[in-house]
Amino acid sequence: MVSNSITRLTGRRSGLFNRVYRFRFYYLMALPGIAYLLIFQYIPMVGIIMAFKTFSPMEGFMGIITGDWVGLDNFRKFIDSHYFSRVFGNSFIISFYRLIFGFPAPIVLALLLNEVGNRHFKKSVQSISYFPHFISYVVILGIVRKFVNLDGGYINIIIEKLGGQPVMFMSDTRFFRSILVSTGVWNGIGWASIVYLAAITNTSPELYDAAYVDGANRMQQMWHITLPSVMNVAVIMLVLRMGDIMNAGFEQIFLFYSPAVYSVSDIIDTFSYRTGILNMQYGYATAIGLFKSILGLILVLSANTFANKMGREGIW
Amino acid sequence: MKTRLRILCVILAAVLIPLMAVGCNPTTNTTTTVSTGSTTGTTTGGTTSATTQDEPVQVVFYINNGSTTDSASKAEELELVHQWFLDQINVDIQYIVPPADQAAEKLDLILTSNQKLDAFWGDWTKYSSLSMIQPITEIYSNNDFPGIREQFEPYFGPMIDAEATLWGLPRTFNTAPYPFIWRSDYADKVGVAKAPETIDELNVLLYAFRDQDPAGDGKTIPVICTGLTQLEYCLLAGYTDGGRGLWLDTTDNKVKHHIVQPGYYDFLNQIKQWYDDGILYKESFNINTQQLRELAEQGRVASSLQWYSAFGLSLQNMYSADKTTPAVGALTHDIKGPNGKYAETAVPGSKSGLVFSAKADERTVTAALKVVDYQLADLNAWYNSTYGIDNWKFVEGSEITAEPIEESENVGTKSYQGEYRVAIGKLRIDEFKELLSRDDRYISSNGKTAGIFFYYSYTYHLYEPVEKVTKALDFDTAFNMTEISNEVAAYSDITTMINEETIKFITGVRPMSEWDNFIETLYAIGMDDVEEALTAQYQAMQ
Repeated sequence: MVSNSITRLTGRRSGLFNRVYRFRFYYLMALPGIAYLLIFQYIPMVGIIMAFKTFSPMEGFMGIITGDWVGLDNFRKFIDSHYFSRVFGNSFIISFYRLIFGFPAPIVLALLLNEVGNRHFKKSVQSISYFPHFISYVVILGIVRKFVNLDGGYINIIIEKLGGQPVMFMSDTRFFRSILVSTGVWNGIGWASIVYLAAITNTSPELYDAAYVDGANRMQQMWHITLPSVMNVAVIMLVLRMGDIMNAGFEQIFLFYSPAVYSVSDIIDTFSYRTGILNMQYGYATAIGLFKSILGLILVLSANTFANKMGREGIW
Repeated sequence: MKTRLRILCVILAAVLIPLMAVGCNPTTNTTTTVSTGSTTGTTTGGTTSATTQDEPVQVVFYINNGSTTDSASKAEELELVHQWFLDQINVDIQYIVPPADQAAEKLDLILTSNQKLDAFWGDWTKYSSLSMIQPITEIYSNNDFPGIREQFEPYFGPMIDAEATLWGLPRTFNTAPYPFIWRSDYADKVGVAKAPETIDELNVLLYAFRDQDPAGDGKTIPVICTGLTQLEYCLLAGYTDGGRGLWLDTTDNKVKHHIVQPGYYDFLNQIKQWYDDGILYKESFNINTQQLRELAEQGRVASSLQWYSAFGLSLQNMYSADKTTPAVGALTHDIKGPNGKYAETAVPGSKSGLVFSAKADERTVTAALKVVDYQLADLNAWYNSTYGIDNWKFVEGSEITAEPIEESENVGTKSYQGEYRVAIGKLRIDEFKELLSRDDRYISSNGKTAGIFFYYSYTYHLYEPVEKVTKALDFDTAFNMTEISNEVAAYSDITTMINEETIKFITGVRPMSEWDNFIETLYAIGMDDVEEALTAQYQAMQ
């Protein structure tokens, strides 16, 4: 009897369809995710071919198939552009700044929130810090302008009251990146801290009790218990972020920038938009996008390898 | 195991791909009722064509002509207009109103999708080079369109290529739309009554605005614009031979960009001086027309070097808001530069006009032209499409000028925004002249205007001064800049560099002493190639 059950169970396990049937509800739950990935992430990859072809938009999807091959011409055009090094450099620098200032900020916020004893105050601060995440960059631009406008901007009013000359922050190359990065950090800090707060919640209270008995103060507990408990999550987030490093934030920069600050703000995406998309040179725009994606992939692989070698858990 | 996994993947893909295809299949996106008349037409690339002459022809217009706003009209008003045109000319007019700031982007997306779109406003040189539009030479010559013939045909020039192919209907005509506009009530306040006729006299007025601050509290903006291009159209011809646009360098017979003209440096120096001295509004290179109008309507702007309607409409709005102490505007095209020539450059009729999708069949294009023609030829059609059905009346004693019964907005009326008005570009000179002649508040004896400043500037200062101001080489010669962009890889880099660096010279980020280096850099990255391509086009057209 026992033997028969084992046989039936083994038989079921050996059949893929049986297994799918057994876990059908899990698969059903996964189906929207799979559909999303297939439809929006994998099937569009066919369009990569456009980077190597002359593509006529009027021919629609068939244009991808029927267009003439141009080899690496679109890539050469991008690399030969006078502004290649600038847009490449700006993308990297702005992303780097976002990483340096934006990556640790939610960790610090999570650590600080964890130390707050008053539950209502903690929840209020959390909610307030999430709020900017739901504001579009169009609205953020309006808010920023209220502060930095030459005419009537709050900061310039203060500068004038103190006897200084007003500054055109939004068209001054010295300040533009700082405005971008700081508003970006403000926008994302609360939302990004959720994952770290979740990791902190999983830390065993016994560790804190033991540290307390050993005489560790709050700062020492935070440094030696809380921070190490979020490090694995932080490393995974960092590796994922490395893949995004060439995405310097098209939406925000596109809304904020002007020709006066192109030199410090024109990134690969804005360049691709102006020269590729607006002129309907989709092959060229695809080549630029593919170039950027390959760089992102290399960075993710490198960061993951580095994390593994440092003894931390990478993504795989 | 692998085989089974593959089978699963195939099944999954087989299910998902049709689902995706169904999900992504576009339907004709229209914002009004689609005709209920059944058609037994064939569908080709998203275009449905009727097969019988009695059935209405559906035409989808993309309303990116600036003639309407984002705010929607009342559905019942729209249906009245829709039905009226259906009854009159048997055309089922459909339209798509794009978001104001993203009209071009959305247009490109629609054109590259299968969504039905038959007519839109755009640069024919761009869309013909992408095979996205069709010529209308044959359809136009094989049919009688009296309204178009009378009102638009004299201005077909910019819409015709070197092979005499007609690519669409014009949107704008030859104009002189860049006068110097100033508040004469402020000029009176600072004691400068005379209209400026030279740059020196202009300087007297502008520096008086700055020093005497007629707006009060240090709020006066002596002169404003929304970018260097505006300043170039207003003043560059006073410093250079060719003005703002392409020019022929007779020393080497090459067609060149206006920035390398002798005299451009002096022009830029003057702008820089104004910037440094607080004459030119410091944010002029960052603001848009809407922001300019907001500043103007706060009473801060004393003058503009800008497209006529930007400040002009503000003066009109200010009059409407406060008729007791109205802002009074004045304008002139008569300022001469240091070279003794009129400083303004005329603008040729644009290559951007009403063009017709390559996917539209002959009957649809003919119907679209019929709609435009009907609105041009018939005043009822024109005013019904402008103000809505039964929502207008001829002004007393007139047979050409109408006014809305309902309170008027900038566009249309409150309940109808003019979505069906597709004969845009119609010259309304006679209508406006009659309107202006009926009320002396519109124009006073000394040429200064209050009231409807925009009507005044449109009627008397948009078309007539074209003959006297400077015309650049590309005024009469329709260069195809899309072709240049395709031929010369560095063209977009050069455009970016010019836009970016010239502003830096004005704002002082780069010293003027580096100007020659800047020009050398332009040639180093490919300006020579641009000039070669331009010259080749010019010679071909000659």
